[in-house]
Amino acid sequence: MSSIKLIYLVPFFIWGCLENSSKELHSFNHGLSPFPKSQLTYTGPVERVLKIQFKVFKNESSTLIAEVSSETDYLAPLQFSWKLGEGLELISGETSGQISQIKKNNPVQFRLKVKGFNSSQARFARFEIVGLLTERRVFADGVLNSNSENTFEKLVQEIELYKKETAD
Amino acid sequence: MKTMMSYFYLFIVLTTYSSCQGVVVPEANIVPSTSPETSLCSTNYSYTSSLAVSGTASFKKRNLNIVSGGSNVSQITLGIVGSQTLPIKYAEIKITDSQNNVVQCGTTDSTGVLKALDGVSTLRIPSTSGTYTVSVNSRSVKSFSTPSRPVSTTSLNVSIKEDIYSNTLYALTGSLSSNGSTVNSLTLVADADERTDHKIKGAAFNIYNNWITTFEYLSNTSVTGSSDISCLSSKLDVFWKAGFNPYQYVYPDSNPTSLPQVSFYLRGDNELYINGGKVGNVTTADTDHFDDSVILHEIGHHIEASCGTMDSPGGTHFAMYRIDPRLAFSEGWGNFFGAHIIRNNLTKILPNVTGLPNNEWYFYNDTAGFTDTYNTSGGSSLIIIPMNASGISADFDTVVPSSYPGESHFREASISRGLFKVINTCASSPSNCAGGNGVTFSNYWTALGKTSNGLGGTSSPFRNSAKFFQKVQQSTGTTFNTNITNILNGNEALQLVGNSQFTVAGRNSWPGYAIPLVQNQTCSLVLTPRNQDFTTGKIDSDQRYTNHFYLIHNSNLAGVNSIKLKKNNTASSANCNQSLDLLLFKEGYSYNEDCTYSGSSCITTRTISNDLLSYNRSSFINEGSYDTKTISLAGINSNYFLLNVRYFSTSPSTTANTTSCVYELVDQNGAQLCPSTSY
Repeated sequence: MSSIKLIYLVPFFIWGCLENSSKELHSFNHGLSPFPKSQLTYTGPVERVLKIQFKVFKNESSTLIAEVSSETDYLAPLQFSWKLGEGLELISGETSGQISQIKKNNPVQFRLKVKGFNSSQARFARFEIVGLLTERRVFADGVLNSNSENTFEKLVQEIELYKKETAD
Repeated sequence: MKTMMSYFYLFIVLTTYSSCQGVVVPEANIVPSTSPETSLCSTNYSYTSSLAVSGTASFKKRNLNIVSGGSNVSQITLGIVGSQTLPIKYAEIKITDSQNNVVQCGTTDSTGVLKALDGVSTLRIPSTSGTYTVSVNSRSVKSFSTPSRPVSTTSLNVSIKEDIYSNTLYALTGSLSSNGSTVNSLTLVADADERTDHKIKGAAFNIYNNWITTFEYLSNTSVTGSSDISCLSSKLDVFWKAGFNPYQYVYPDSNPTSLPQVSFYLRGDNELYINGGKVGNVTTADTDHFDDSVILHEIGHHIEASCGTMDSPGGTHFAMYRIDPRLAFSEGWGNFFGAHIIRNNLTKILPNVTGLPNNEWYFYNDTAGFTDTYNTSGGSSLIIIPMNASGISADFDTVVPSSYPGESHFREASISRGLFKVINTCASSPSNCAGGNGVTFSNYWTALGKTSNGLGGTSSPFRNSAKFFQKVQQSTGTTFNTNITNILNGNEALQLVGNSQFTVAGRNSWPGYAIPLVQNQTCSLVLTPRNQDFTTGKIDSDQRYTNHFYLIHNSNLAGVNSIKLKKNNTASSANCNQSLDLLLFKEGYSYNEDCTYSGSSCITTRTISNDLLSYNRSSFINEGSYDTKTISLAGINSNYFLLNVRYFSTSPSTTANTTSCVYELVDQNGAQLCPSTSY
């Protein structure tokens, strides 16, 4: 009975407090610069205009894929690198290198095969790509967690989705 | 119901912790039940028979690894957890018995010693044998009195919380064992190593300490004189969680793995969000909980918003191109604040720091991850902006004061350097600083504030650095001396309105951003637009050169109901073969760009936005040696507006840098309207 009460109470509180908490979060007129300060990276000022979509196929030998796309042509070399966290072992694939360009709406994939990504413990891998044209350095990066279902980011997504669904 | 039940079961996750990875995973039973913050422990319990509680509360943080050569620092990364701790000051104490009944409330004092609620008396518990739990919480509610100030009481009111749903405070706890006549002493230390504390409470209290240090600094009469600091009394809520990117709150639908990481300030709610990592990672991901510059940058925004007025429109900023001057000032202030507070409170923020040239801190810096004995290559140095650098040779926002006077007012890194160098001394080379030359932080405080002498007043909209420095000068009661003007005019391009460098062939080429447009003066104006070139990334309209901006207020324009722009179409205007448009912005506007990127070039459209009261973007009307456009001032009432004279080109990437558009502004009777000589 107490667990059912909790379930009814939680939606009520979520609705009330989320409405208060989130009403300003999506407004960019409240001192929030919509572009992250990490626009300035250790490579210098960059434009975060590249998009990364990650795909993971978990197995004894897991495949990690970073698919990079751009909405505009970037006709200059780009440097990419993977960094494997503790507990991961490279089986095949290039952990760093360069491509000559990336064209508009023509994604490029970077693949690695690794061991250890299907562990019950969280393992991390990081991917980044930076354009090398001095006048215009484009950039994107991302971090993969092998146990992404257990992250707080995932929880936030579910709460906000629940709020949207109950509002509708 | 079934969907809801299964959905909420997802909330119940097991605590897992990897000693290898420092994984941070939500604990079991910490259901984000969206509770309000727990009530403050504020009762002083008296007992007929009691025992004295003694102890201290402090926190650890990660040291900085500084790589330098001579006086040049090339790298700053996070390293091992330092041995020296910092006190947790003025924090709420709650003591409970084994039945979880509150038996006493208290506070830590200014040195982290556990005290009673008054911060002075001994903390006492009933002399009943048993086990008690002492919690030092990441919250402070405390009043300070300075009789010399206009409002004599200032309140410290801050909470550091895990997330926006549960509003849970961080609690550093310890056990008291009482036999009824004696009780153990406590030495509470918040850890900074995620392997031994997955919540990394040391980080939470580091964030807390940055606000406490800022509050103490600004409360000091040697810093802010007898000025009103009651604006510091508003409650500040800070949200931070180890391994979590708070940008996910803003973009919940975005993929967490590739969502950029951000720390940010929400001015409407007095809330700070500090980046704790990403998808549970703190070892290699960008984290800000030990990046004091970053935390203090966001605190700087809170100060700007609470004690002044923040009207930054937000937007992209790279510290590489000229941007909206309101954004540049706001971010420049934040970067400056991040460096200045550390510079002037080094032992309170970085007690373990070594390797600094001349033991001086003069950076805004940001790191990612950390490197220590078990995570041997996780740390990165993301950004280092040396505040004592000359703008002429700086890495970020390089400026050319002689060729592009005034451009620093559109460049955030240059503004930060200027702000820092004017009031600080620097022993390290390059010693470009001018501290001790008649300008102090107290002048900045006045210039920032909401009085008529400050930028924050309601009669001073469209805030920018040119206006700020003029207010600073006014607050000193005299002109800037040579050392200061050398910084502003030669070391950076922060020339003030009226500087002779803005006169080009006898005409005013930069009246100043948001300078009032007034009557009964004569003037000659010229706009010298610059190109936009997507291949070089200069994708936005140059707000220093391609635009002029005038403050419009009916108190300065009696009887004026329209403004006509007269562009000289004779040889005086070289290469000015495109259009000048008139746009009248409301306060809080966002600049509407006319250029949108398509493939490898720019498509220009005369865009309109809801931030405009009126505009004239139609073709010129030829009136002999002038091409004219007129804009109505109907509806301005007693509000403030910004008149934008904008060069519009159908091919902005080919605008010649020799282009000059001579123009004048007149009212409906032909009487000239001119920029005021000062703000």
